[in-house]
Amino acid sequence: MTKQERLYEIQKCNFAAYDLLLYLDTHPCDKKAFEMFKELVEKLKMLKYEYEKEFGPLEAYNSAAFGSFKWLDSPWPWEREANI
Amino acid sequence: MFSYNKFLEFPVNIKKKNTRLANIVATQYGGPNGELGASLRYLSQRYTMPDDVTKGLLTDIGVEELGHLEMVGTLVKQLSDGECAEDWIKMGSWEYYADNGASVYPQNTQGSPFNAASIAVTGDAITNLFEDLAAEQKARAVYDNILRLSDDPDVNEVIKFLRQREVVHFQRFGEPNHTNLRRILSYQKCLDCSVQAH
Repeated sequence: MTKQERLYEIQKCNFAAYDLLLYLDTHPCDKKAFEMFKELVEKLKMLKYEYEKEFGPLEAYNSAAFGSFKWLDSPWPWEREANI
Repeated sequence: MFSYNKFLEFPVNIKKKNTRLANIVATQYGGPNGELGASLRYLSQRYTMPDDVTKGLLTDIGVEELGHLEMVGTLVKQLSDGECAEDWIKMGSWEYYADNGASVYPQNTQGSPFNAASIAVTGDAITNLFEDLAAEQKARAVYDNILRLSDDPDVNEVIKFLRQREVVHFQRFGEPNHTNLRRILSYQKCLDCSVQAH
């Protein structure tokens, strides 16, 4: 998978998790939804970790895991190059 | 506090420049039914919400709206990226260019800057939730209008995603238990009264 395809996998997983988060806010006792939420968050963590190892930090503090400060590296999310 | 993820909630990749459409879409950045107002409305209302469901819901939807603000800003940026004055004149959006150049500014289509008069924060939990339901419908209606005005499939794909989120948020805002909220509110009022009585 290309860098962009990997990021898209993260975006899909993040979206599903966030949508479930809003659902859980109004259905906090739905055990099945909470299990799905846990799985998605776990998968998202893994996808982000794998992506960051190869392409650099997605969160500022995660740049501490690198030899140099890679947080500033382009592209930024609003630039087309980040979305191609 | 907030922390930033260096990616958009949904990808934005606009291949065709269109400064007129940038001017139109900007209203969902800083116009009366835009994402800046949405995020401020929910993040401000949450301070007086009486129960954990509504505190959480307003926080989480408010934060997602900040992500939508970023997506709309990205649309405006990519639609106008690097366009020179002549392009803005040709497309009839030179007023926007005069004030902002080819950048992103929170205003409606006609240049009125963001105004917090477009949001309401009343301190009454149920009134707030009805305000939020209305706000989601109004934002959805504006996205519908934009879909009718735009024939750019790259833009429309993003607008359709944002429109669909308004529908989901509307659903969520209808779910908190009003009976329960009323009970908490009337209990709080009793407490206020007894404090005043002493």
